[in-house]
Amino acid sequence: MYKLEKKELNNLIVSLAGTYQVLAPVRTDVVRFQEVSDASDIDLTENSYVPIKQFFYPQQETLFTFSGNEVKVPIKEAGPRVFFGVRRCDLNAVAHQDLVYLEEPKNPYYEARRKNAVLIGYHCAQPANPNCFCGSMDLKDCQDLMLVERPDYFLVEVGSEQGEKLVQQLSKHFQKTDEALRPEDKKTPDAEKLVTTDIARFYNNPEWETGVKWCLSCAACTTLCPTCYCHEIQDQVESGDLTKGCRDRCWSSCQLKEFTRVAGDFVFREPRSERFRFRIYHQIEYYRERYGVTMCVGCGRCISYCPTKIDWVSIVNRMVGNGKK
Amino acid sequence: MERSKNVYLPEPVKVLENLRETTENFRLTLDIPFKNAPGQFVQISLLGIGEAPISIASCGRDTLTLHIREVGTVTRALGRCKPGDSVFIRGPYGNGYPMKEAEGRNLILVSGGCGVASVKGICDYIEKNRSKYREVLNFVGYRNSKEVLFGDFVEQWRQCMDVLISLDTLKEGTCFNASEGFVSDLVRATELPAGDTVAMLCGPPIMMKLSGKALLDKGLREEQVYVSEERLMYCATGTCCHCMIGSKFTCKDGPVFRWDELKEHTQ
Repeated sequence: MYKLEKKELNNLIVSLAGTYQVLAPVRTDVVRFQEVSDASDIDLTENSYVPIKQFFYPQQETLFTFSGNEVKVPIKEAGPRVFFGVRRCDLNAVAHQDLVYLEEPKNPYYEARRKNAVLIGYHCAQPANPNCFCGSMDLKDCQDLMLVERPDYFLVEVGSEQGEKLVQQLSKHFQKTDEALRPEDKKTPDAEKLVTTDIARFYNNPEWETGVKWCLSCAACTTLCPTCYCHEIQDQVESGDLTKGCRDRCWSSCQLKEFTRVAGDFVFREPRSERFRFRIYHQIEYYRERYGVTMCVGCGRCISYCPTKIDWVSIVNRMVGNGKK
Repeated sequence: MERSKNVYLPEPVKVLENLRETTENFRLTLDIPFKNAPGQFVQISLLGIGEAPISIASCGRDTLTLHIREVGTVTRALGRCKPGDSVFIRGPYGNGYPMKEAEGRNLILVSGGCGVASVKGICDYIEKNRSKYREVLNFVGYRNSKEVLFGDFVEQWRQCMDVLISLDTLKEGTCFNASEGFVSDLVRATELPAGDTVAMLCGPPIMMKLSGKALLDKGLREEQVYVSEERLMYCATGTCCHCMIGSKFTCKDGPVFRWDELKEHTQ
């Protein structure tokens, strides 16, 4: 265990910035991860509005460009980057996207962006958002370093070899300490809001209908979700020369009706309630069947930033309460 | 980057033939020896227009046959391809039909409309491996006599299996001793071979539902019936999520599913 004095934080950021691009939560219009060169730019008071998935899996990217039948792939490896102050939920979210995009066949675009990233976590002593429920999800330690805040310093827990190496490289900023983590340093209190993740029995529960009455199909929930990974692929051509262009991948959303539209105009999940149920089932059940963990990490963004505040956690809890099948 | 390491990169292939079968349907023969199992599919694309998943209508031949219906931007553009043009291919993808598990048993094939393309792949396979199967019964349904697909193969299929054809209506004329009605009605009206049987279905959702029910009513168990599903898909490798049916990915876990795997979602 190491210790990082708060007054030493700025020196650490300056040292890091010598080798890495340092990205940390900064308050702009909202809190979002941006490049920083000074510790005073960093805002650790709330979780970032936009998750960090965009740095590894951007909203839009070119898979290849073409000219006639000539195809070129624009993969460029991202340089060394440190993500500073990532919450436990978002760290797990990155791990969950890794499971999807780094299993065979690997997504080479994702791998090139993800490869040289160091993740420094920041433990939430309080829920970072009124709707978060990470305590109900089975989160793991998947950071390189984790910072646990104390009044004058941070306790620094090493989570990986890469993290240990980083501390060694920048050892002048860290001190060894015998202080141990307390149980509450591994979990956020009052974040156990979802009563169960065993929802298979609720598939035909009428609450899916009532719960979704106000859904606008705006896809804010999936766009701001740190784990949602679905996408579509579209071709673009240059307006002056139709033989030149590119094939792009961009984010999609299961909340849109078009998501399952096939030739002949048949839509497999037409009612909003089915699309809503699909999202929650994918987050909780379907992903777990394949990868062994729930995809959802309990960050609560899909509830907080839903324009009509559809609170699926309360909806599922109501199903448990009603005892209906 | 090597194509094999980047699943999104398609490879150019020359069109050998574009055969118009009906006003909306055409058959593309592509100049590439292709190793695939019956029931698998490829992603075919035209650069600048886009990509579409199309089931493979051939199996283990020195060319690749795709049967395509013009329903969207990509398929309409493909319909205009001429011999010598390049199209782009990646794949094959998907699991294919359980041809191994079906060995030593009777086979019932039921297809409707474009679904016959996927069953054509099974027929190719059976022609080469006829001795591995007992009785083979191939039910094919078309809308009418003008919408017949792969009609030029029916006589060849009849050399090694029973082919029963239904037309939704005989108003446009008849062919191949077809009966009038849905293919599911034909299945219901036909005496099925005795003994252990595996059924493989491909076609529009309603056709598979009714034909599957007909087979179950006639005594087949759910574990004996397989259906080939069609969904919107982009990546074909289990990440874009458009093709999910419950927790299953049509592109990776399917497109062929056992009846009981999907019951909750498709019935």
